[in-house]
Amino acid sequence: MNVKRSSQSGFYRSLFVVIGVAIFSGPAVSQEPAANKSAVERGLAIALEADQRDSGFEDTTVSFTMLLNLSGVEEIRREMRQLTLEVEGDGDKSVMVFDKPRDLNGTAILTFTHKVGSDDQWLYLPALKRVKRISSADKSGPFMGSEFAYEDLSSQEVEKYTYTYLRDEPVEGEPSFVVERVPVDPKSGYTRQVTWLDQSEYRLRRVDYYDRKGELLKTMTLTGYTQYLDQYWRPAKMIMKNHQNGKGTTLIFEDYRFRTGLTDSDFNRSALSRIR
Amino acid sequence: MLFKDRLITALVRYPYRVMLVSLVLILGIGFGGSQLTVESGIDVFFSDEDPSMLADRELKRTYGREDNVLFVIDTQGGDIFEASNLSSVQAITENSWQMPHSRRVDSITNFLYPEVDGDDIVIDRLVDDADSLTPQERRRIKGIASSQQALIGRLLADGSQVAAVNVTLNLPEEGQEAAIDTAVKYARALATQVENGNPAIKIHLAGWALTEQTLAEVAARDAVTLMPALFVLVLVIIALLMRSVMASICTVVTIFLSILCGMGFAGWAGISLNSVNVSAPTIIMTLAVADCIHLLSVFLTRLRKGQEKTDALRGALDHTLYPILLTSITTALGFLSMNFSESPPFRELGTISAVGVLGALWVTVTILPGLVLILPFRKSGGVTTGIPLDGLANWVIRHNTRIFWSSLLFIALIVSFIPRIELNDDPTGYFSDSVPLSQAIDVVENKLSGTQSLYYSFDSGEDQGVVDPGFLADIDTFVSWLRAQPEVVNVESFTDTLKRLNQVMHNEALEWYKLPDSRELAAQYALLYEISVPYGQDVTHQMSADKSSLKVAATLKNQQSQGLIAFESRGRRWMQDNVPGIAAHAAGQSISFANVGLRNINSMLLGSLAAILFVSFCLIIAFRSIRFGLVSCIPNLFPAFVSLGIWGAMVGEVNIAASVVFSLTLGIIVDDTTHFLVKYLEARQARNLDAEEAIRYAFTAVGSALLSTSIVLAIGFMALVQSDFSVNSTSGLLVTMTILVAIVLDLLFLPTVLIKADRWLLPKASKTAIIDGPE
Repeated sequence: MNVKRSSQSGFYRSLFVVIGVAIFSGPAVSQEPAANKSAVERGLAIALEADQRDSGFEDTTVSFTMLLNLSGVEEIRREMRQLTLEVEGDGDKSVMVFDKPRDLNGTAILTFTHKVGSDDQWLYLPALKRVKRISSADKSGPFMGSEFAYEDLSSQEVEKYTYTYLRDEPVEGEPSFVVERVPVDPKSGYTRQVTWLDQSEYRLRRVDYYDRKGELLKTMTLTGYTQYLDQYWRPAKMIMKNHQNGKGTTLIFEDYRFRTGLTDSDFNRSALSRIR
Repeated sequence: MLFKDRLITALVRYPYRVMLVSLVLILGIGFGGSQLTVESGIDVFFSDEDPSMLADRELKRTYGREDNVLFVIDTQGGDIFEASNLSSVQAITENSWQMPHSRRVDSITNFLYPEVDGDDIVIDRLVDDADSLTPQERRRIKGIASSQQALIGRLLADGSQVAAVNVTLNLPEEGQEAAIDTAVKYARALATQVENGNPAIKIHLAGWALTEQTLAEVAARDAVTLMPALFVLVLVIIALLMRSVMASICTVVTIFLSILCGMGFAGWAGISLNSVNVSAPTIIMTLAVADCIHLLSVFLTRLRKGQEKTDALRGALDHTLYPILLTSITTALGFLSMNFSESPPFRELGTISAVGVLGALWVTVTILPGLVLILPFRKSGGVTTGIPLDGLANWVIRHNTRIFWSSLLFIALIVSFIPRIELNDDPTGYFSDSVPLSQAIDVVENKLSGTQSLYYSFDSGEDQGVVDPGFLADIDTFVSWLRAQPEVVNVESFTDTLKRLNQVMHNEALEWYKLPDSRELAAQYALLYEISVPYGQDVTHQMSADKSSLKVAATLKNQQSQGLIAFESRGRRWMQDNVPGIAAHAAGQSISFANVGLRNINSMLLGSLAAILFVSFCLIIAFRSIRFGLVSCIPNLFPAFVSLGIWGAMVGEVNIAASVVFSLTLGIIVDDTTHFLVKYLEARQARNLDAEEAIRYAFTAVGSALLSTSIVLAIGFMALVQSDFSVNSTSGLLVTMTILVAIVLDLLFLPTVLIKADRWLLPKASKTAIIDGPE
């Protein structure tokens, strides 16, 4: 399973996570009746390939807006930034900084994702001028009134799931792989996720989330991919639709920057209070 | 009566043709029955414009639905924090995530408790793995749990003997019954499984889902047991009273076709069946019975006196057609008056019944004559039909003064008990003691918590406004006031969470258990909490998504509807005086029910008043005498008052059913009065008899039929008393009492009134009688 250093970008890319390769198993391969074992192997291979294709970006920053759509009437805006540092041999480090609403201005969450075990998380509260390490049961609850859980937005290492290739199926006309992934952590809010990755670029196009009862809870679709540095694809929009309560949340990403010169010293406790 | 004669002639001469045409018509209407749909649940009691329903919907829209399954775990004297008991609570908590449609699960084991651990803030479940806890750890957990205001009186009883697991359901808009059914079945299986694993505990199931499910189950049981029993009972009694099996067969057909009219109409009108209007067939049946008995008893009497079948039929029609028509119209008007109710199921019940009553009239006139001619009635001479009442008539006439005054005294005495009646419309009290839900509710009320909840949604008026310190302080003041009230057993408020987080961020210092003093800090605490909570334990049930409003939930104990309404307005007054900025109404299903119950009483009183006016107006026209119309009001009004008085003296508490008993029985009572008065007047005016003789005539002409009808109807409604659904059983009992009181008053009190008021009622007739007396 440990094919290579699996680097993880921030949540967007982690979202499309998934991974890579056994190089020989290209998209063209295998229409033969896959035995269970080969479905598992193929699922992992796809996840590893996606991960491989997205590695080496070093660091990245992005601004995003969260639009809450409540029963189709009201729209509420939240604004945030995310800074991500690729880490050799472990999960990425990231900081999420809140800009709006203004009561949260400057509030920052530092996350060290780990391939194995729970992530580390620190929260900086500007109103108290204090950083606290937060240890919690799990992070599967919705946050900021959105349909996204922190779990959905945090880095998702290849090792955090087990994979099964299901079938090929087009998404918006693009041939895609459908791969099911099951969280390794028993405390996850989901029993499984079904992901769609396009076959041309291994970009995550859609995720179906299944709740603890195994019922379809929500669907995320990712659109408006743009390629950066001739390699890294990033979506302009992620839409989360909750099927059980009918509400939805849209994330709009702007101003992706790569290799901005962030270092380890920008991702520690004392750096949190300096981030503006 | 030219038209009547021509009609009767046509009916007797061409019975089969009339029957055939009529049957086609009835089947056409009845075909609508195939379009009937069934709806269940509590929402059916409310109209779409009902203000408390609208408030409740808004509450659901903002914070999600509150439909729940409550597992009540009773250690029966033990300690819930014993290892095995705590494991049972955890087993229920964890497995409840698998319950179909579960949205959130709350219990003492998964209660999220922020703590300080060195430099870390830990936000985790109170119990991680109940099986691996040491006694010290369990003591610590008990200590924490017992000091949580959010838990005590809701999920944990003072004294730790009883705990609860509350599962909130996210029910779909469509197919709620099926959704509730699967959730409740899962809950029952889980409860049994956990109980089997731990014999020391007893698990009860309560909550709204259980209430709705029990409603559906009880209604289904009524439909398969009570209704057939009632049906058979009525037919047997008719056969016995009339001494004729053929009479029973005629009645079966009349009942069946009348119900077909009513329910077919309901189908065409797009009415859905629910737990209230499903009584319509029963009501239609009893009224169809009344029509049949009136016609058949005269027919049989004449037949047994030796008349030919067609002559006997012609005579019976001539004798009864007019009073049957009169009573059917007045009864239908009485039922239509139920449309004044604000609760749709009662409106539908009234309308379906009114159509059914007119259907019964139609069937009695068009189908019954043909049927009587087809069926082989035995002509056994010498067998008397009905109940001999000559002795009673003589006794009443002889002692009329004594009976008049003692009845009046008795009525006054009974009526004086009416003020003792207390309205209580709590759906959790809708079931008899033998229903498991009632036992569960007893445990909840006596050992754990309360069954009624008030929800306050406080709107700050701005996006992110809930973090405003002034707004939070106001809510906190109100929460403290709520907690100081004796009725309140639990208050759940996000302000507690904020205080606890503030304390934790200040290293558990006690003086920091208070609300954060700036918007920013409150907002940041809220974010801290939000990113730390697991799926299904989030704050969306307490805070709107845009953070503009907060919900506070108060649980109340042992409250009747009126108490709940009084408490709600007391709370509102207190807010207006002390925290006017946030003053809000309470919403939720409990208060919705309490309000709809009270409004029903008011609108039904108005409806009944309108019904009396209609009926009196009809009778004034029919009798062509204002005074007679007025006198008829007395026996029409008193029975309902008397039975309510008896209820007040014996029971004291009524629910939504009582408010419609008056309308429900008005038609039947009017039926008694009208038949008696028509015959009395006929004797006084057409036959020139004096008052006493006219009373004897009326007794002979209709007394037996009235008594038979009343016996059959009383037994019919008595069957409803067996229902485990107290709306059915209460109305069944009240209606039975009212019917019996009505027949007693009609046979004992009405004659004495007629004798006493004779000179005022019929000045001309009595003169004529005296002048023409020796004729």
